[in-house]
Amino acid sequence: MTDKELNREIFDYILFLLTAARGCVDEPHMYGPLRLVDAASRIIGTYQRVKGVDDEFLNRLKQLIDEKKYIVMESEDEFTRFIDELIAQSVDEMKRRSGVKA
Amino acid sequence: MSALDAIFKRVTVRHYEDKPVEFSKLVTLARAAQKAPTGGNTPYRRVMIIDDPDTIAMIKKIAPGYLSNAPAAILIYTDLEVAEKGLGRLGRDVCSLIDSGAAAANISIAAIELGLATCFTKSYSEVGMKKVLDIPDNCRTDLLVQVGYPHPGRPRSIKKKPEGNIIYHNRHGVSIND
Repeated sequence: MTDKELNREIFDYILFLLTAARGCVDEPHMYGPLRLVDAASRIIGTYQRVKGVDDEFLNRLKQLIDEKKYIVMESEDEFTRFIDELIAQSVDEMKRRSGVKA
Repeated sequence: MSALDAIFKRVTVRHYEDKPVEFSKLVTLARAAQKAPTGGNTPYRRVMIIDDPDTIAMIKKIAPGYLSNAPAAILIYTDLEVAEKGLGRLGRDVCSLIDSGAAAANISIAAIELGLATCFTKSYSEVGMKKVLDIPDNCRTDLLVQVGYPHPGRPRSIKKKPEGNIIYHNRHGVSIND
């Protein structure tokens, strides 16, 4: 990815965050968590496009988010459990990367 | 296909094939939208076809709810001055919104007949949408309908919550199933 392409993606990401912030004023309260989870996926997407970067855990996390994020429209409880599961997996990964047993 | 078949076949789709929608089909959908009623026959509804890839890309950037890869969209919006002049505040604040919903429903049903699918979006910046599309201040954007060919390998549709199917008979609280 060139600096120009990265600059464009960061700009788009900033615009997403700003419009999502405005949406949080009026939208259903669970859409805030949805936007943040979606933002995590978008950041990973940008990271994936950086040449030479291939993080297996983050790739799997993004795939999981993209597959399951719409569950927020079926059940707040399930979506909350889904976020907790993402956090649990990420903490396990953090410990693994820190050399601590999960 | 009968109208009833199309109505009961309709689902919200967020995964589309990577191919454009023919302009003639988008025009048909836009005309279907404008066939929906308006309060007092007041001509306050505006319908815009959006199929320019660069414009769709810009809209996606100011619409956190535009989560699909739909290659086209139809925006339904209201000229508030015309609405208020024709129907007062009721027209401006209530009827026009109801009628935009009716127009969007027409699009979603007509899309089925044309082999297309749709997804309604209201999660976007009003200011951003108006700036991208050069919509004047006297208008209010009501609903964006994403349009595309449904991807055959898309995930299952979101399940409708049971409360979304309630039908009463003659009195509130008396279900047709009682």
